[in-house]
Amino acid sequence: MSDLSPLDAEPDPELGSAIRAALTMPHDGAFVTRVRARMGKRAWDDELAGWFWQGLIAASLATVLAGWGWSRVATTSTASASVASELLDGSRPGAEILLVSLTSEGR
Amino acid sequence: MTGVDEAKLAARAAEGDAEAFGELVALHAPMARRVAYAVLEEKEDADDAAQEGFLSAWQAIGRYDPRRAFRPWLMQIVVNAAKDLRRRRRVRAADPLDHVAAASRDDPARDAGALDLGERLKAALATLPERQRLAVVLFDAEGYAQAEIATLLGIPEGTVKSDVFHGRRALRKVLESVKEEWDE
Repeated sequence: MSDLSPLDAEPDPELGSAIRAALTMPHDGAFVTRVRARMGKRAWDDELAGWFWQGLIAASLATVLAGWGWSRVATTSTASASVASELLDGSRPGAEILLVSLTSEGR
Repeated sequence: MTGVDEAKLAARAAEGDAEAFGELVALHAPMARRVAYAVLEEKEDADDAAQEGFLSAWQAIGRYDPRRAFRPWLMQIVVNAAKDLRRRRRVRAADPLDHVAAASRDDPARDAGALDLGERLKAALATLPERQRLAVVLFDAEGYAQAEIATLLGIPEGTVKSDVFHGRRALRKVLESVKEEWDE
């Protein structure tokens, strides 16, 4: 075996071969088959993940829009209902005048 | 498989050719598994890390520059996958090689007992710091240039030289001791 200095840039073939033999694991073929199978699965998973995020964004937008639409309808109806009820129960200032004018119009 | 073939395969893989990448997996699987084993010292973990490295490389293949060598690019990903797994499993109970490493820590060549050369070398490797272990495996066993190892591990080339030197010293002791036994 050669005695290399720390500055020697040449690999030690004998040591290298012994290390390769020590670290080599069996069944490379099975490993490669498994990786190839997972490559296809991961591509499919990535596709699904892409669709998931797109779906999530679409659902979030739809929820926001629906909430905004519902709140608009609710605000308008609440406002209308509250004006009418205030007029009827006379709590709104000037309600009597408005009611009188509305009722006298029909005469 | 020639370097030209590998370059062609890598170029096709970079364009998203799964078949070409599969051939590169077959070509580099033995090396990737050895290097992952050198980091993790446990076969199942090494296979998990090597597999994760290949799958990460496949996911990142769009970022690979076909004008550059494929092997160091791939091996960097595999080494990172192995280191990540090692970090995640550090809390796990006793490493299967621990008993061998502990027995050999003081003098790997003397204490390895009846283990064969491969087991003794693995035990000696287990006593080395991870960076030294990787440097000597990549340099002597896998044929990477010291400059490539420096880039791959993100350390100065001088540090690689020093790591290879110190790593070899421990491993050569084992080799010499086994040879002496064989001669007797």
